[in-house]
Amino acid sequence: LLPHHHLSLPSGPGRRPSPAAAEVEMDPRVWRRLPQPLLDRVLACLPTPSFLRARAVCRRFYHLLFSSPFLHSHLLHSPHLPFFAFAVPSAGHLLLLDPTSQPQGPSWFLLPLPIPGPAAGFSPAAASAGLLAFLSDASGHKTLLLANPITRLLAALPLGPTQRLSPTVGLAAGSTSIIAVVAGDDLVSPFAVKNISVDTFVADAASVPSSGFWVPSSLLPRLSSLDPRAGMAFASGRFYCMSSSPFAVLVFDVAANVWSKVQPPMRRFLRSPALVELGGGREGSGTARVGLVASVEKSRLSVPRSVRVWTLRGRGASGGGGGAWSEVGRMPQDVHTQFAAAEGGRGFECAAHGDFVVLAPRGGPATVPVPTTVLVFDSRRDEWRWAPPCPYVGHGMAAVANGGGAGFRVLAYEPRLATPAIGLLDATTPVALHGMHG
Amino acid sequence: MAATPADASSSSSEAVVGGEKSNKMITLISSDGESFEATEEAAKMSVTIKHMIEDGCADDGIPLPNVPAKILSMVIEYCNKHAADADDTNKHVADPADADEDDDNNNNNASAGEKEDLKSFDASLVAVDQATLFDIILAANFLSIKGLLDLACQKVADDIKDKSVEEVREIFKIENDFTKEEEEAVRKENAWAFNE
Repeated sequence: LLPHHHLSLPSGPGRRPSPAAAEVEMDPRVWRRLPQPLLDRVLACLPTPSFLRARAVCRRFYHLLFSSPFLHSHLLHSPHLPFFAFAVPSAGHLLLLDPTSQPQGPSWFLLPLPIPGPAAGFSPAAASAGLLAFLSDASGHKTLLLANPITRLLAALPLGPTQRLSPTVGLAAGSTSIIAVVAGDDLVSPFAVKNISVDTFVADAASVPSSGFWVPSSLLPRLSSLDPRAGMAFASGRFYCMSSSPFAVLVFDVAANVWSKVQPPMRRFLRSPALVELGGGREGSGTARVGLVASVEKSRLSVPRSVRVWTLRGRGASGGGGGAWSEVGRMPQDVHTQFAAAEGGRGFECAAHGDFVVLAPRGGPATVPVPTTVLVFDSRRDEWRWAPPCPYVGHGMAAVANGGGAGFRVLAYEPRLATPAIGLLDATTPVALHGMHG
Repeated sequence: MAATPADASSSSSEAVVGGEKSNKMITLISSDGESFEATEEAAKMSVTIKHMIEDGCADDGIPLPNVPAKILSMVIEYCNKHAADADDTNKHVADPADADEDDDNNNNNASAGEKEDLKSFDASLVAVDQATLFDIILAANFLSIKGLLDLACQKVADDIKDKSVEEVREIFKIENDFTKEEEEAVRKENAWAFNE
């Protein structure tokens, strides 16, 4: 049933307990004898929000957040959280969606973004391994900041080598490496033929120096056209992004510094295509697959309008031609009717995380750019369900101008305690957060 | 179960070459004097036992004074089930920089069905009463069986993850050493995690 109004959920301390867990009686006579190192081991298995609540138990628990051995253990043992972050322009916070369906279904959190701060002239552009990438808004040499909003760590990449206007950003981070790509028009001259290139930043603990460097630019295939509001998907050492007019999937092999093209499925009938990352998770990019989510419309009525999800199998990237796309999901007709009504032909924002895909129709030009309706697809169970209305959508909106056409974005973001990759960045890189110039 | 005396011809001084699975049986003795047999391969899932075997201390059976019979039989059951799944205990966090694998390369030793079997076996192993779960944790820790320790600790974490701060203090008998103002400040610091 399509929600037409916002329900206000009761706010205040406490959270909705999952019935199963709340019922488990834990006997203090047994558990008070648990030796401290083993209790810490149990805490390291808690999902991040749970641990953050547990910090209020006692001083020792509180300080575990600053303990490297504990953080390492938490990184290894805590469960993967396939959350989504909705970034609303200039809002100073993220709307987090937890899609994992417990009895009560998807749920929302309001995560403050203390850094870099809404007035600093940065916008969220990508997310990976618990880190958010913020891109400077001003045109010119771009600054990319990496931040962990949970621990409030912030570090800057060295200044981008090429001047750009509104590039598309891709980020792939692990515990010991960072790869960032910034692709788009280079500001050679307003009169010159469009030159689309990419700058690649690589930092790796195994290299010397480990603090990373920008690899010389490489050109994208001719006639590429990237949407700065779209993101990139990363799998097996390659970034994937969408080029339009006509639609093509551009593939960037980082190690080889080489671009190639893959034809998307049903190329002439796609609308609002988005490239996403399915799978992966803590096991890393070895199990991630690239997905394509798009509306499909054929003028002939024999093919009903639908929204479909495909994944790309095999390498499929060498030298043009089609990769092998397999359809892994299709929106049921009744859901699609509601979805199409909400979308009104304006397209939708889309991201995938773990087994989940979220689709959020864009609002009209006169509306505040927030996600009003969000659809969640569970690719493992082949289930489509609407998320409950976000109770925080009106929060702090007084400060939000109508973004000048910039709507909200959705990123696959996992709240994590430990984001060791940020330690690779040179701590001495100066970060001027106010009045950034190109 | 009676202990089988070590056969003279299968001397434990023979080195086991890497990759070869020995069919040799190892005797493990619980704290209450009961003897259990396990294949060497299964027994070596315990790093503690593995070292004792390699140091040549395993000939007359390995006494485990910290592990009661009831728990030891569960531990051996775990090891038997998981010994076949070679890389089960080796979890690491992969990096995008070193992943240049074929998309289809799944390093599965077991088929999907076998993995589901293991998962439900694991789930039922830790669906036990509190005292037994506690003993399993201590035994897995003492015997250094990473997979079993992971499994049992994760079960406890699942049981407490939605409990309130006060409940957690009560369960582990932890004293609240914050002042009222300090506790308020801590809750406020990560307020987002307290509401939904």
